Amino acid sequence: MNPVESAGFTERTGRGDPPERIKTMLQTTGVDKSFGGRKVLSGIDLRLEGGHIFGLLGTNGAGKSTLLRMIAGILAADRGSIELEGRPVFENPEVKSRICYLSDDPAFLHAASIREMGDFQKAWYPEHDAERLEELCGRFNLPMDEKISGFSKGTQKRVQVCLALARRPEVLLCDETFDGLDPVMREAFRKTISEETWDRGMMTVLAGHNQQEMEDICDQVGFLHEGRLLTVGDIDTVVHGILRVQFAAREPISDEAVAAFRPLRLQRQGRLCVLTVRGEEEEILPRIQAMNPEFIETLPLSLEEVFILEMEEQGYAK
Amino acid sequence: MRNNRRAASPFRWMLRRYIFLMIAVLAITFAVFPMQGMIRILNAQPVLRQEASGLVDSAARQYMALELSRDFVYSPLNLEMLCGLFAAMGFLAAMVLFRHLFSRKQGMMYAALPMKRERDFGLRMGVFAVCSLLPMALCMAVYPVMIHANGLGGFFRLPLYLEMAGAALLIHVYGFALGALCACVAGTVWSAGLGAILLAGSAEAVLYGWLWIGNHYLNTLQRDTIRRAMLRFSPAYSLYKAFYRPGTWSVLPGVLAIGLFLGLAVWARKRVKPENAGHTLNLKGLEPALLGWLSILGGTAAAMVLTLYWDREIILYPGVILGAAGMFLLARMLLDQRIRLSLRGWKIPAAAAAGLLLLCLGLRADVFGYNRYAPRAEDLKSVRIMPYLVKSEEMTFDTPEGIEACLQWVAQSRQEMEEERKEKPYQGTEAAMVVFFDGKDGGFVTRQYHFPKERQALIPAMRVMTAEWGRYQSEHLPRLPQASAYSFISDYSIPAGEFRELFGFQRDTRFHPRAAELREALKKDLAARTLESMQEPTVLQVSLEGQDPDSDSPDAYRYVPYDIKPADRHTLELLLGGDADKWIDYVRGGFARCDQVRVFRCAWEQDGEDWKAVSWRPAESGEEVREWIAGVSLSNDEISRWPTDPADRIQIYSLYQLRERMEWDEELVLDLEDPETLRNLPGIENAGGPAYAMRIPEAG
Repeated sequence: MNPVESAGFTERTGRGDPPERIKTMLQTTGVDKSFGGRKVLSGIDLRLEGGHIFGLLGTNGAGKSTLLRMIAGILAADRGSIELEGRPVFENPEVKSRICYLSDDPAFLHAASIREMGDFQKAWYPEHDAERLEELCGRFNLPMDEKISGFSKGTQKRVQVCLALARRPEVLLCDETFDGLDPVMREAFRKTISEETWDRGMMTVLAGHNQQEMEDICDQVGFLHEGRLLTVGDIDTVVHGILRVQFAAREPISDEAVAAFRPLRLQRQGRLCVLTVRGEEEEILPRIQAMNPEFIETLPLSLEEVFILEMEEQGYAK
Repeated sequence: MRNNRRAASPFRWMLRRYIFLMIAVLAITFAVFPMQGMIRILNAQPVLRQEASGLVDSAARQYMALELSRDFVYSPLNLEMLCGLFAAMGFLAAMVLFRHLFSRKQGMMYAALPMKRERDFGLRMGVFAVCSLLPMALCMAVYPVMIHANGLGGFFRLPLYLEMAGAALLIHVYGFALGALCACVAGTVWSAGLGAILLAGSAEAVLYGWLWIGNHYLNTLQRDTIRRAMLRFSPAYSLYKAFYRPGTWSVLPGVLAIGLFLGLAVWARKRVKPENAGHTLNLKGLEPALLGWLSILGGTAAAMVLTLYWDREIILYPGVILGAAGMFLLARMLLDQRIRLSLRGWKIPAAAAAGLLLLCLGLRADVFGYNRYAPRAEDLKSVRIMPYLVKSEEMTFDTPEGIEACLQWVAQSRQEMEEERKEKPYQGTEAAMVVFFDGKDGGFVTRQYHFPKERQALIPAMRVMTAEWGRYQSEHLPRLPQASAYSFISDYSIPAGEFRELFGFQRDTRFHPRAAELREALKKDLAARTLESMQEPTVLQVSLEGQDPDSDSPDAYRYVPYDIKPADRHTLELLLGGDADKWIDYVRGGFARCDQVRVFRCAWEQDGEDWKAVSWRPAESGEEVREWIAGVSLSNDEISRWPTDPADRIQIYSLYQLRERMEWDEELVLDLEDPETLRNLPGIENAGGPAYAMRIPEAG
């Protein structure tokens, strides 16, 4: 499935198709990674394009941070390839200069201020815009000449995002970046990143656990569990891939009849039955209609519920 | 905006970031080079005034030249500390420049930058060159300028200074290279420090350990020659020596090591994983090699230490096993950073210990036939013998007779040593005669032997060798330049105080103007030496010292001591004039006429570890002593004048020596004042105690 082919982001933002100039494409093929004999990622195949925000959801230790670090060219893949527009990322300065990775635990130079970090960034990234950095810092109330080490964790995360946006990267990788931000700042940054993604055709990858946030901002999503990418696609497709149907049978339904649907989750109360199954509405509803129910209705599922169902199916936390 | 105007580059940014390094290096190096030099410049002012008056002699000029050009740096710190300082500065610079590799967070931040890892390494090398090497070089360049500005250029030896300064810079770079490699391989600062110690000296330590152990099994193994060769090829030692003795020592091992360390560091930097930062070892692939090497190091060290305390072969084997196992467990804890016994990878120390044990057994059985080496006379160009490995006493035998005589002696000595080895396979030897077999193919083989005890059987060979040696020595008397050569008596065969009491005079021991005469006299005497004359006691030792004509360096000196025997009449008469006869008489037994001297002839027997005198007879007169001395063959061991045969030993005691001895040995009670006692001295075993259980009169 090509996630870009979906229209989720367009529908959500109501802005229509991304601009023509968006061409950035990132592809991972059969990527494996192990740490000390423990396999962290296995056979990761992913294809992302600029102008979209991709949400990477996963359980604890699923390998989200590792995958982002590999995309950023920090870690090398044991097997497989990671390419940006057909060129390998690892140890490729030209490609890496287009990617920005925001760690879940921000790192800065010892005893540096934002201005000094800007100088540091400027030395490696000629496209770094000091004016924009000052403007962003002004917008997010960040003092340019104070030591960053004295800031709170949330403020350090704001600094990290401002520095990243001042660089104008083509690919922005955010690892739990919004965790620790207050709701006002979180909303402001989400808005800024959405604008950057749209206006410049930046490719943004957000990794984290906040499904609601992902659902709000992302147009594509992927579930990562125990190093394997379970589901990838447009967010609506992913959410609509699982159906929750509530119906009341006229006569008692046998267990065998329900089991035939291979339910992900089943709630029964007398003749009332709530069935959560994988499949399309067009396929599932006629089968239930055939059982002649008194009424039948589909119930909406959130991304979080879909994620939990997917993880339960994998036997996680059972 | 101002940031956008800056044409920043990674290198310029790094230079700004590490400018503090430059200031620190500048301050430290300035304190050593220009500042210490300034103190010497002040000290040199009086010499400069004397120079203007034409009062400065060559020795003072020479001293001042060395003081200003080289030795001034040794004063504030000793030599080892100074070398350590330069190396430590380089090592610390590497730790500062590569410290991001010790932090997972920082490591990942730098790994995300758009540059290849080798470029990152190169940039930091560049920063080291500018911030550390450059200030050092600048300080070094300032000093000669100051010297010339003060009018001391005439005393200054620029090539010598440059060689020393170059060695100092190399030591600094060596420290950096060591640090860079360790920073790339290790994941923490402390493990990088341990790694540096390991890299700088562990190979030498293991080699030395096995030479030491090997010498216990192979008693012809010449440990010192190999040790010297090993040191010559030791990178750290080559640089240390190049700094200490500029121009006389090859820095090639050090330079090669620097290149190797930097090359390996780049290799490691490319492979290092930022996620491993904080671990003891960043490159996990090196773990088996490290464990193996540490096990070998531990096994060697424990075997050495244990056998130093208990000099028994039986302790060697458990020592190897315990050392390898102990070091493995310690290394395991360090690698895991947990105080917990872990046996993961236990096969590595087991294999290391097994290898070392096999080596012990191989040495014991002499599987390579090291001790049995027996060259053929026709394959040899010459044989060189160097007693006690003293270069100046080297004897060369290059005639067929000389070589044949040497091989005879060697064969007998080898046989004797082999018999000793059968009795005690792990004893080693005190053999002190180092033999170099120079092959016709240009190579040479080194072994050591001792003079056989039954030397009478070797008299024909010894006679030839003595004649050959005398001829060789007289022909190759050092060609010391007259201008700087001087001679002196470095050692008398008898204590100077005693001699003064006997003969009532004291000699000046330096003979500056007579070096040329002395050389001529020595030449005649050496050529006329015979085995018999060589076996006589030494009257005194005379030395020649001067500039070494075989070295290109003006600071290389040669010191050549000669034992002067009673038959060396030309030399003795030159040195002692009319007193020569008194000296000769004295060493040939005349000392016995002195009231302060008692001479005994005794036979000793070994009783377990101790020696026991079984018979004991004092000399009746000086003449009897002279007969005794003339009638025994003398050894060349530490009691140089007396026979080594314990069954027939001549013991000489002077009363004042015994009195001194009494002060710390309460059991020493001698009564040598009573002639009756002397005549009827009992066998020592009857005295119920140590050999000296007699009373001695009070001084005066």
